[in-house]
Amino acid sequence: MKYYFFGLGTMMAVCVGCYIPSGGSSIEENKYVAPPAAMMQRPGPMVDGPGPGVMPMLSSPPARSFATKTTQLRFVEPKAMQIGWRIRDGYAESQITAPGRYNFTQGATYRLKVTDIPGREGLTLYPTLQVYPAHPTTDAYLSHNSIPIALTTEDLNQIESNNFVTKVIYLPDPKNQELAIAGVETIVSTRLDPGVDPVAEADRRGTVMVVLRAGNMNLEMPGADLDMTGLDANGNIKQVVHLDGMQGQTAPPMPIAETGVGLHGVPSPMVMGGSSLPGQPAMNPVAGMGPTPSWGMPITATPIGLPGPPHLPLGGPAGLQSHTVRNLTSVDIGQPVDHMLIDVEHDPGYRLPHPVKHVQYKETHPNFASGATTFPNWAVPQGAPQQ
Amino acid sequence: MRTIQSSANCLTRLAAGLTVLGACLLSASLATAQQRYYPLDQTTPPGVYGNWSGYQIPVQPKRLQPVKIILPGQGKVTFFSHAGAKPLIGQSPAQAAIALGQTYRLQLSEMEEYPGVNLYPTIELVDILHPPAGKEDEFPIPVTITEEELELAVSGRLVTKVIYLEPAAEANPLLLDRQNPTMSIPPQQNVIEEADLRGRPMLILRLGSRTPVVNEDPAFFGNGAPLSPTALPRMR
Repeated sequence: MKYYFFGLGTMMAVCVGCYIPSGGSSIEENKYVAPPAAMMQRPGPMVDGPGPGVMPMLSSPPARSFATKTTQLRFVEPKAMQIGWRIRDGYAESQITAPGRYNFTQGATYRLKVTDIPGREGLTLYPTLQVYPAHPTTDAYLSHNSIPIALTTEDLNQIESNNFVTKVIYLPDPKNQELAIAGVETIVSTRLDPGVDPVAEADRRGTVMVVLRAGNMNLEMPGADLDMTGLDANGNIKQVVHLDGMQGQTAPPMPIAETGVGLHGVPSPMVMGGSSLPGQPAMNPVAGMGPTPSWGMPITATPIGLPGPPHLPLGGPAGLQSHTVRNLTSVDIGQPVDHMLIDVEHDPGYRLPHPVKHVQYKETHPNFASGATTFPNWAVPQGAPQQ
Repeated sequence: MRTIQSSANCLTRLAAGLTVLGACLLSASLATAQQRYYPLDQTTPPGVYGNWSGYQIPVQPKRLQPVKIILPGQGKVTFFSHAGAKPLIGQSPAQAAIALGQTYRLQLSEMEEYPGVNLYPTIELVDILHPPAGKEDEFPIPVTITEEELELAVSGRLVTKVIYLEPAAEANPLLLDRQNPTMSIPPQQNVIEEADLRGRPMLILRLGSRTPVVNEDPAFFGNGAPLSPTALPRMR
């Protein structure tokens, strides 16, 4: 008897469960409450959409607007600094004056040329600018914001001291954001401990958007990276192009490397979506936007005429764990054909002369004794005896 | 013997209590596990939420939802459909009708507090209102932009704002004589989830500092979604 109430109480608790009201909102006992109308209008999450035997699309999927195939960089300081970049056969100088903005195609690395740095007369820098492709976590930011890039006094001192400066600009994950509103943060290699990779560190904290690498190497001296010797591959004199933005001469930057395009047959260190064809900017497609099909739209038919799993009752969470369709139709259609033989016949048939397959050719020549002289008839001397 | 019995009774009650407590905890954990999952948040690329809304909410193709942009002071509001189309221009508060599921680029300019500053936010319509027939223009979705939000955008921050419709049972019965109340949440929280818990998300405003430059992609101004002026107020 003493265990009777124990067993009864346990059974009641397990079968009925405990009623714990939360948030002041509860459902009265023995009373049914329909889900919200919006949830009743559709069979459940991710079961409508394109496919056979499914609900027609209630609106056409929009093209992916505001596609961030470009990243807008804002060169902040030092002010009055001139920024140019490498073009096909030279450099386009002074294309931007800080503070200034420019849209760089994503998924590529550019060679910049920084001149006229205030207080650093004669200093010319050739940093590389690696623009990462937009990621779903950075797409909203990149389509609404520009990325500030600044060369601080400390950066310039480090560069002039023969140090290599890497600045990584990234969008921190929400859990790593220090401020209340989303904004970019920058990691500078010179402020990290030796051996710490700033790109890896930024990638650990968020999503990398831009990497600027700067040193004091002069790339416009003979034998440098850009062949300024004036000779092309055939040894002919080559015209080196220099455009000056101050004179109104502008040209878009030419990527010196593209993300996603490695050596032949070798993937690049960073894999990204989109076309890798020459001239086609790389991009990361978003499912369900534009030509990219929606992800998570099942097309398997179910007994209710909708792609499964059916969420019954409507408005409830997905609970189906198994959906089996058995085909019990008697089937006898033979085995697949492995050797095919087809006989054809014409009546009447054909009869033609058989093709020549043997030709005999024989020439007969006159035979003369030694010392005898013969002439053709037309060459026989007049009065000579006929032979 | 009594003592042992008593002890046994005590142990039995303790075991029964622990069992009931365990069942309660199990039930509570199951209830927690069945909370709604929100796949969308403030980092979702623009257009995805609207695309999903297009699947969910059946509307007539020509049904457009009026939206009213309210700046903290005087200023000009421009609605873009795409790069080649004539935009709709109006003074704040400016109103235009947009389509469900679409994202539109705006231009905020000639703001008296920020001379020379042009901002290009986007608005993404994820739900529609159901006003009386023929009075659609009298019930726009108000999008109030505060000075604080403008300052954050100018400083290079991205402001994501969700305008939601509060439930009728919880709505303030008094007419508001000021801007719609705005609540800020830390970035670690899901702004769409918070709005959904408090009502029905209607529109997402994203405000940043990117401005079109000489080599701007035409897609910056939109993909040609339907855009219509409304009767109230008149727009050029």
